[in-house]
Amino acid sequence: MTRKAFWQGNEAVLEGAVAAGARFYAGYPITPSSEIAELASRRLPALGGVFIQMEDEIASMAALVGASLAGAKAFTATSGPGFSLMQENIGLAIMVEAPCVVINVMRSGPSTGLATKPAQADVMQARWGTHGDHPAVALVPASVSECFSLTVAAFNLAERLRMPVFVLSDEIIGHMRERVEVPPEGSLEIWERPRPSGDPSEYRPYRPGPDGVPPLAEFGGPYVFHATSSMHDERGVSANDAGTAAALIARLGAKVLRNWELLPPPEIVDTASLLGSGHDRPGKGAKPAGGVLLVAFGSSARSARQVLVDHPERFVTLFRPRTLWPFPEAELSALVEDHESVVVAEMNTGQLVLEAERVVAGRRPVRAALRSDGEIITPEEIWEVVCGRRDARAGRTGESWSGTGGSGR
Amino acid sequence: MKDRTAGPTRSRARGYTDYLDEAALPHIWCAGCGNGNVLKALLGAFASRGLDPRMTVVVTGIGCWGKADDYIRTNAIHGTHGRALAVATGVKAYRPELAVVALMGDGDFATIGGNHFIHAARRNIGVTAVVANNLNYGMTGGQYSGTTPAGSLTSTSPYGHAEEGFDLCALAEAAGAAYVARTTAYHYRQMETLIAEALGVDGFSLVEVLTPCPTYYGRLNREGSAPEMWRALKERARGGSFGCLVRRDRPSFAERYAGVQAAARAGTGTEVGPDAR
Amino acid sequence: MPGKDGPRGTEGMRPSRWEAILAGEGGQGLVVAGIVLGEAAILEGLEAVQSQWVLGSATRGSLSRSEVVISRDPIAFPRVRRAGALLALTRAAFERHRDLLAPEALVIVDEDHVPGAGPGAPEGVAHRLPVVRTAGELGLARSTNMIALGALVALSGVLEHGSIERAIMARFGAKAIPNLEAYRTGARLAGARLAGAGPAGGAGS
Repeated sequence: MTRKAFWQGNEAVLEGAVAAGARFYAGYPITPSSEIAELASRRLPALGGVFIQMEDEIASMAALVGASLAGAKAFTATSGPGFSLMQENIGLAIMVEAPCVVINVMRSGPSTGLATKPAQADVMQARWGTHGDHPAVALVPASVSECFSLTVAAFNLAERLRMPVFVLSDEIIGHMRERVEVPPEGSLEIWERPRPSGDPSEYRPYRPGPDGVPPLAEFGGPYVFHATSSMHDERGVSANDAGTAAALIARLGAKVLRNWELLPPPEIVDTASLLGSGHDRPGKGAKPAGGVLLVAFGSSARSARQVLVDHPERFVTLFRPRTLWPFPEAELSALVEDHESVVVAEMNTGQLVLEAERVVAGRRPVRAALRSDGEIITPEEIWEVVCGRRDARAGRTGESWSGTGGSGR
Repeated sequence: MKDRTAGPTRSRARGYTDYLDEAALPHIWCAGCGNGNVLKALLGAFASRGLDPRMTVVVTGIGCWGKADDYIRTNAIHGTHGRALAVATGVKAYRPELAVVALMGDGDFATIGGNHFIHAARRNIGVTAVVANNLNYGMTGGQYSGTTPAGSLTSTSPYGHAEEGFDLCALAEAAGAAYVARTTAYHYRQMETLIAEALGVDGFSLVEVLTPCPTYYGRLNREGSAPEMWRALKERARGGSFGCLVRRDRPSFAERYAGVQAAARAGTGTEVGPDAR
Repeated sequence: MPGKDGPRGTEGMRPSRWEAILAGEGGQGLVVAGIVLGEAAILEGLEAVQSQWVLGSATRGSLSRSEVVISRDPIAFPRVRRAGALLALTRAAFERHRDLLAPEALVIVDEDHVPGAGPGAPEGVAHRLPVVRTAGELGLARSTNMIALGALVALSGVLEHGSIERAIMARFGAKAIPNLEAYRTGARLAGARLAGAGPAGGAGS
């Protein structure tokens, strides 16, 4: 039976990980993510799993790769400074295709920043933080309930796609408590990594299956295999030739894109659907004038949703990605022309708005509601931008310096 | 002292070629380099321990010696620079029954990965580190490392090195390693014996192998030809501080963590987490 | 009574949102009090969000704040916008949060730690209760938070006592008895003041 829990976001992440089958955690404590480490240290050994506090986040991420190839569903949790240190071996996990999950409970930066306060400023770091061309999958919970469900989804995707998957939470979501409907044990859909079958001497750890993902053995089983951070062929043997490099880079990116349908879809909600019947709204094809397409994720999406609650008279559609990377561009693009403008709300100086502008491609004006002082962005701040009275990037308010891109790039 | 590889894994007589990927030869190391000797001694130690390649994981870093996994037919991870021990720790912590060996040079082990080295020794994780110390970064052109002696000429210390180098074995001992040994690439038999001993240790073990780099360190420091460098190594080992230097019983990480798992299953432990605040 | 506009009292009206701040010193347990309040709301089938933070670097002694939002409808913005209730156990806790109060908000302050008159005193009507002193007198110092919670629930009527008591039992298990005792003490303390001369010791009294 489903049970109701009143969990903290970080607690829900841990419970989601355990429910997904996670049995290895390597990490380094850092505010505001440390509850995840503390709970992992308590829960995992009781399940026959392993918690290890490493000497730093570089080592933590390296240990995840080792444990993952040894067969573990492995994860870590961190925040900005630690996420920066992890980038090196996130690249290793991508290259050796080691499934693992990295929770980043985002806090204000740069550097130590405001260590106990929220931000959403690691949007681009999650996409491009490690060097080189690579795919990225990042899920963004906007509730404690999603801290649970999207952590399960992150493990599922990591295993199915053989890659690190990020959960970008933030200090607000991570530290607040909310109702979670906990599904009964055994009722969740849990995906496992593709496994090899057949003659061990024929095993090629980097020969893709039909979905572009190679089957993964584990150390200590019948299959002996070799993983390398260097460019490599299907045997996992390093190879320097251009053809091998091109094929591997292409496959690493394509394995995510061709499995697009596995990624959690965005939530799209407008005032009518949010508040139920009783709010007259013209049907499809007859969108009212002045409609605003509001794009927000994570805790900013909570403030954005409040705008819809506060102003039922205004036609606002909230587009809330659950998967931030790869960005759900087709879904957003399909909505653009039903609205007169697009507003992006985020707790940084303008990161996701760049992606929104790319998708909108000049068809509509794009404005931004931004905040990067360690405080939660408020519904009132977003409303001002929805109404067109402010645009954090227009250069008029002097509150943001990141408006150099413009909407007509 | 517990010997984790004695017993059932010693299934049949093996030789070093059982672990060598001959198809990958010739190796990339320079003429006069000691890495080929270290590789053969390593694989010879695998053979004398009767290691099952399926139950063995070799983790390497980046550098000349970090390329060794290319020639080894066990499981392997060729990781990032300096992180071999951290990767190996993940493997060993999750699967304590695997034999886990980390191959690193002085750059990997003593320099960029120094933090992982001391912590691996402190937590006594059951990984055998076989470190080829040639006093400089050979692969990238002979820059100085954490073991380069003061005054040495390298491609980044053209006026003489302004820093002292680490004594890796002393550092390993201070940090808590269960087994510490030093030898040279010249002393093939001793090398194989020490590595085989290290492989039998339950906790963290280090075998430091001094090995010549005639291409860079030797040339810049006028240490003569490769044969002259090898002769010097042979002489140097007569000066003491060679062979097994430390061998002590300390509970390994695996042993202690089994206790943690048992306590967790029994439901003991202190309140942690958000509810305790 | 201010609490009448809580989530249970506005059937048929939107939004049905009740926001409370429980503030005091770190170590007084107000975070846990907020959690129990939220858990009790969940037990009643309502939505709840609890947030917390310590305003300062010390776990003990710094200004600590626990926020609870309770609503019949899904809660969008998770933080307090205009608090319908403020429970403050220290002067700093009151002063820091007075600007967040909604008009007609329920204000409960510790009568020994928040001044009753002069600068820094609550304006208008506040319930002044000896929360910390009572806890000390009864030997329930570690249950100061539950005494405070008892007073808050009694004066706001936001939730049923029964649901709070169930939440206390679920959370504290074997240690529930002293916490239940403290909770009931707080509720009685508030009830006695209500039954007496109205909000005890309002500003200037």
